[in-house]
Amino acid sequence: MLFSNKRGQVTIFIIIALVIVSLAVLALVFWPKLSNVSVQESPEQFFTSCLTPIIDNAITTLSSSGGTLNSKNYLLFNNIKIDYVCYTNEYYKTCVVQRPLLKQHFSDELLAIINPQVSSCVNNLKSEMQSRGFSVSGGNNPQLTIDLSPDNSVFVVTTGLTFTKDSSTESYDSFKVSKKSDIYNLLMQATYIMSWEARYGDFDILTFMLSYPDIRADKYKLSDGSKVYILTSRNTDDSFTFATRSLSWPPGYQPNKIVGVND
Amino acid sequence: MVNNSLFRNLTFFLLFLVLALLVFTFADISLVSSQSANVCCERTTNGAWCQNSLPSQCDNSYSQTPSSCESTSFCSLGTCYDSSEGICMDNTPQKACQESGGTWSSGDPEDIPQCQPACCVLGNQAAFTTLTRCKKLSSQYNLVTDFRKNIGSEAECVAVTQSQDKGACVFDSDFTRTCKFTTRSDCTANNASFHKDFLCSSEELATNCGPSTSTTCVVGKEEVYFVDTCGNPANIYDASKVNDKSYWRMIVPKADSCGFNDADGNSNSRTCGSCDYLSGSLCSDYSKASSSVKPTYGNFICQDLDCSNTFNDNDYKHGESWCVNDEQTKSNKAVVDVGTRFYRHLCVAGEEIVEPCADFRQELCVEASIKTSTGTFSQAGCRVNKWQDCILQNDSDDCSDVDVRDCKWINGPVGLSNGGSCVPLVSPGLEFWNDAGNSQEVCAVASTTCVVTYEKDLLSGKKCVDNCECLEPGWLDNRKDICTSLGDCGNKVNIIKVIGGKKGWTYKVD
Repeated sequence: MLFSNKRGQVTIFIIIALVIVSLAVLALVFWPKLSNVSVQESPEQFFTSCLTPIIDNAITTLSSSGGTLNSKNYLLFNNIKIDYVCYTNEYYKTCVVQRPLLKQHFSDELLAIINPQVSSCVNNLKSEMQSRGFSVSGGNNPQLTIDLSPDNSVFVVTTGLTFTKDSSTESYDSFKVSKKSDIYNLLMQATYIMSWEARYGDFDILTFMLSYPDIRADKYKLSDGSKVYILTSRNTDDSFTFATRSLSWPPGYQPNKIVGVND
Repeated sequence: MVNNSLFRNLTFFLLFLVLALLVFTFADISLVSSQSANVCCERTTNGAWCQNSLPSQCDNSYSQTPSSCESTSFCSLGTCYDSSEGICMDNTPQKACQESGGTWSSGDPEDIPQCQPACCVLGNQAAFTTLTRCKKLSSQYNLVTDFRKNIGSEAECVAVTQSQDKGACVFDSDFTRTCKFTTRSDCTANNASFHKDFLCSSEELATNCGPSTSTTCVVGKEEVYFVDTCGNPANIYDASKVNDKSYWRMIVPKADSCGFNDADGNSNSRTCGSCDYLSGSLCSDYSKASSSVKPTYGNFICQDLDCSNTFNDNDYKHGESWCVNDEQTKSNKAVVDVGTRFYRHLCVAGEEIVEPCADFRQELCVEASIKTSTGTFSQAGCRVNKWQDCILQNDSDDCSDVDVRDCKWINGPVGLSNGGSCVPLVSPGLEFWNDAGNSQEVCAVASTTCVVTYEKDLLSGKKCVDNCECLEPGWLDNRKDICTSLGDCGNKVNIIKVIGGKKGWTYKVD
């Protein structure tokens, strides 16, 4: 009896082992297909995953071009058009502030870039929910608001979407996407540098960096007297690049020639 | 004799004319300005605000007037007030401000009530800023606005935060007695009980916060701090006291903490987090620090902020700056090749940052060192190359007056002046390829014609009687020195040591 019990146990162990091995083999064979089966995203997650790369791309583009996407008053630095935030076309003179409300201007430009793409995210979400068997209403005129603050940037899309399936209804007045970013602080510091350039003509990055250890500042003086500043957050690696032209000196004896004006 | 004298006078007259022209064009900026740019555009076609330019470059949607922008009403500069951020921006044109959504006022920020700064206390920190900005910052950090108008300087404002009582703020949350390490004002505003100088981990307070082995950096502080189990900062990190209950009871001043007054600010110490920014160390995540020294507990160390193995192979301290030029020398005089310039190198947070001085050698890099208890400390800066009036100096003392100008005196038989020439110490660069900087005229100052007069007599043949120095061997070298010193003139090499395609000068005997 004892012997027979033992045999039964061994048989059970063998069967269990075979099942485990079979499952492992099946998992290996069908892994690519299995890996594609994901847990369905909630509408918030779906919307966030759609909008986040658009936001990242827009911030990166704007940050590297002085906060203006299609600037007409720019300098070309590493093949990128960088907006002059403070500018004079003359030599020996301090610059005139061009973007007094830099943070507000950056927000407006960001809005202009992202807004047209918000609708496509809303439409993608509607299509996704319809494919899941929901009937969808609303979401026809989504409104984007942007709030840049010291530690993060908040993007709120007011859209008024309602998803209905069987007897359940889900309503979403808005979707909120938060992004951890130092761009607000960088814009505030850029405003400070711009103000300094307008008043005194040049800005010392060493003193600045000693006072603000979290920010790296690079300054490049170009041959026409323009300056490019690159502020980089040491915490997040976010950066903001902008240009100024203030108190510049001409090559040779060149009394106050206007840049871009041929005699 | 009469002919010689006449010729000499004529030469000086012509030279005077050239110099006068240069002085006139350089000094009278406004006059030339009005010739080349004769209107003030409120906005140019490329979107720039308030620029003196040509009429064709003005945006017709905005104002323009045939005078300098300084004398127009529409381009008078004032202060732009950003009511949402509470920032005041001076030197701003009215339209630029208003179209951006700001409120414009004539005058400086000092004259505008909204722009008057005072002390804004933000928890255990402070900012010397405007009331609106204070409200904005307070709301961003979820704090009650504490704006102290009676504090009129930034130094006093900083002192306020340092004199604030700090301690454990004990309160109940979800039926649990817990604690937050904060200031008295922040604590009492929330109706909690404040225990001055106590840490939240103190056993006497009987909260749910206790000692841990975690550490952190605190905003506005340079040291590494222990963190209690509730996430509050405790005392400065000291590995030997991680299990010392007394170290987790009350605030221990920095002077009584580990490694106080360490010459290197406990840089890269595994056991002590008493960093000192002025000594070259700052709290940082060890994985981000260049040394990657892992501390005994936690993830934060005093990062070494000094720079080693820099561009010139020297080591520098955090905050030092020094000059480097394209000739790899410390002498400004050595930098004369076409295309060369000066660079100021900075050591900040362990990184070497290169800042070029102005191109065309319009700025020089100057460097000086001071002796400190830990060695020399180098400071450098880019400053304007004051070469412009060198050629106007007739006297070697005036020429060499370093307080006024950067020039050198070249002795020679025939100079730009009597007995020698005053030329730039560091020759400026010229845009000779498009003559934008009057490079032809600048270089032409060195051109000269020397008429040597001979007398023939019946017995000994001809004999030099006037300008005979022009026949001496050093004359040509002297002229070449003057020529190359004036700018990118004459026979020079460029930054990559390639000789120019042409000889750069001619010498002719008729």
